[in-house]
Amino acid sequence: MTLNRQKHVRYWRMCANILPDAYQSSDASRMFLGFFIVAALDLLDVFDNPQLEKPVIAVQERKDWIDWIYSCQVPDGQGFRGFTGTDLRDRRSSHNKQWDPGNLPNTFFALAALLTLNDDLSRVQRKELLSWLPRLQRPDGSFGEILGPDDEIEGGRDLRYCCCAAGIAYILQDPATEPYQSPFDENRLIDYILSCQTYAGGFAESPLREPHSGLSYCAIATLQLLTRLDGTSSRRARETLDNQESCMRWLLERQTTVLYEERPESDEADSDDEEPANNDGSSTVNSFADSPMYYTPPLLTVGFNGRDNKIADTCYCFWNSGALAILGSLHLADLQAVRRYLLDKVQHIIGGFAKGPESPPGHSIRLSGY
Amino acid sequence: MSTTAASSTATLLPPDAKPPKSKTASYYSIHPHWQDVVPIPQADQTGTLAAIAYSARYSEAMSYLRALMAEKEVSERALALTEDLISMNPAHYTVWIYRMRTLRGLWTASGNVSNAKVVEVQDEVTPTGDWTEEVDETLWDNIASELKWLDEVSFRNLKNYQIWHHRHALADLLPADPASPTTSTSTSTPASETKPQLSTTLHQRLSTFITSEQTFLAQILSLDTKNYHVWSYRQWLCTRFPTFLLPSPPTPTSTLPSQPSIAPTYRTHTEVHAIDTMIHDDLRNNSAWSHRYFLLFGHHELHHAQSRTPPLILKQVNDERLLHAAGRVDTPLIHAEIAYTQTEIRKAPQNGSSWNYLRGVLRHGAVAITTLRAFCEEFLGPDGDLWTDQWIDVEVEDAHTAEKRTEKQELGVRSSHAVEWLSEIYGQDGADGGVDRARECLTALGEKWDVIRKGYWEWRVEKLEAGGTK
Repeated sequence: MTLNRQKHVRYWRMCANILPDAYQSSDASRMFLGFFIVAALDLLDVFDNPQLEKPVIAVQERKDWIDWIYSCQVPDGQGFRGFTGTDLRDRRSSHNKQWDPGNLPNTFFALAALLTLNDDLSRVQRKELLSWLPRLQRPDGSFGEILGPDDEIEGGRDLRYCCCAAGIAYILQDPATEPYQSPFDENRLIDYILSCQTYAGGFAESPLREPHSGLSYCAIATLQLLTRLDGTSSRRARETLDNQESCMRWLLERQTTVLYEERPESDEADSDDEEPANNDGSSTVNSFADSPMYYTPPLLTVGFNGRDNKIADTCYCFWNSGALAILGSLHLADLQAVRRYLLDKVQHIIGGFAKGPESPPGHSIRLSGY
Repeated sequence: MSTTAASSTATLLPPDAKPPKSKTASYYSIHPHWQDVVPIPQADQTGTLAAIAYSARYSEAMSYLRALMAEKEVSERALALTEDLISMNPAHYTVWIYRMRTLRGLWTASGNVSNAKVVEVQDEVTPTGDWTEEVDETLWDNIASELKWLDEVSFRNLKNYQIWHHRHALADLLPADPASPTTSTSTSTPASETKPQLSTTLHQRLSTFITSEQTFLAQILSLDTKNYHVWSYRQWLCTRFPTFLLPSPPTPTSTLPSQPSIAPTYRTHTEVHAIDTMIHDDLRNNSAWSHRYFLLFGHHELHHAQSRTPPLILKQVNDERLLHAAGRVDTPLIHAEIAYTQTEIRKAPQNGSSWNYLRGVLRHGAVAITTLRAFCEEFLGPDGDLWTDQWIDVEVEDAHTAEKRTEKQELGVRSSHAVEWLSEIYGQDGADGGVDRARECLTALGEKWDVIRKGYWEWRVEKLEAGGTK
């Protein structure tokens, strides 16, 4: 199969117009959804493409989208809302603005979406935004999501916020200012990232948690952004990236032929499911179940999982291969086999990609699968 | 669909009407307790990006939430509204904070709040009481009742993160455990040098709380054994209440020599036992292995890193073998865990979780990988063969019924992980043909046992030939 460009364009076009009410529970991350829609359309090359007879997105529509994104910038310039749901409109005041705060990850997605739409960011309140950003950084170097009612940092300790903070600094850096002044403590941020690396090589959301592909991507991408920020820590970030063999190994270990929840039966040996281990140690486990020796079709189909012993999931094709690309090791993965997974197994008949090969059409199509 | 507030008193609902299940019905605009509120409609103009086809019920509730937030109202009806909205959009990032604020405001006002009466938040409940102080009985009851509500919400929203943050915030209102190096969510402080004790009553109350949390965690994990948020909360709970949840709670670094080994008894510790059970139920549960590492080794690394000024990076503690140097590695425990993991690996030699865990244990204890050569060679074919995948029929006798039956037994290579480890071990050995043997391992992986990572194994061969495995 090939990439069905037309159907994907139609699918994302539809998402841009209106999302079904199943997305209501993602309302607070509308900016995030909006970014994925815009980014997907951009990857499909529908903006400013002279070869298109009729534009997919009209000029006015693009302007409206840009205006909507700016309407989510909070009035004092301290970030963007994740959605218009917190906007108190003419009843917003200094007395109650804590209930309508800027949201760190969604601020990053807003800026990234604006750039993708070819906006010049001239309406971003750059100075206010960059003074708000360090107030979200904790003493351990990590970042929170929002500032709460008493300016306390709310949200978990999470590498995703770290990556978004570095992304904001990267987008808003002013090349005219020499030398570069980092808006936050970059060395502390690197300390935090390093503390999240696990014994297996991948990164977890916080120290000693389980490694996860999405979070590993965030760790690696944050380090790469820091190398480009030209701050005092950029050399340290580069050295850290150059020393990531255990992470690379772990990312490649995420390639898997296990695409379905039920492990396939192997020969006539005892199947390997519900009860893998016997109490007395006399194991009946067929230990080599996911070894290629039982799967020798001429063309393997390989997906990526996000954690050890999980099944393949579309979005992890991006997170793992993205991190590998930054590390310069993507060529070590079996990309043809991954392409087969994406195009033959999870590309959806109506456009878009599903989470897994057996996901029902419609509601389960995830934007994160872009 | 848009009903103007108080447009017609004749259509008002009875005062005890609950929010309807219907997605389209009005509620707040026609409820007698809400007639004084002027809702704030959503600001969206036309041409927005990623518009969502909201249900009318959701739009209405959101408009009333904005109105209450604008007035910073703290009331029973505000609490009820947050509950209603959480049921429709549990990922709303300020509604949970607003709920917590409201709860604390109402608890402070303690009972003097009528349904529609608005109270201003003044002195709030102190987040973390001193360990010597007894906690106000009503606060215990209030937290317990909110947790009970939260349990139900959690079962309905397994993938949500905010729920766990709320639970965390509630548990953090309880008194500090003196053994905890970080006694609150604020900045970490080194453990005090003299170790205070919990009073008997407080110990009992906390113990009851921990037991009920463990029961709840076991229930919710039974629905999704690898739920990332649940495990994050569980780990946090362990650091917050180490006396109850860690088999060897951290001690002040100055107390030397280190404590006696926990190796003889650790498997009976409640939290370790819970993890043993989960690994027994599914030895491929990587979340459980990860938590096991945290429980037995990781929290010591973290404590060591955080008790220095300025704090060390966790990675440094392992890379520079600092715990080892400080004599703070429980060597008998290391060996007990190596033996335990070996048993688990023999049950499922292709399980990446247990092999990675074993790597972690070796690193923590600074034990050389070469000591596991014989163990890894168990998973090769006859006479160390790296290529055989032969199966044979073996007649076995059932231990209980003495019945004989035929079983397939593998004579060949049974674990690609063992082959990888051996490539490192042989490569480090340097003895006769060590590098050749290491190369053969990597070649066998790329060509036979792990072809989807062929590119990686070829890279490893190049690296090996360029000198040394590490």
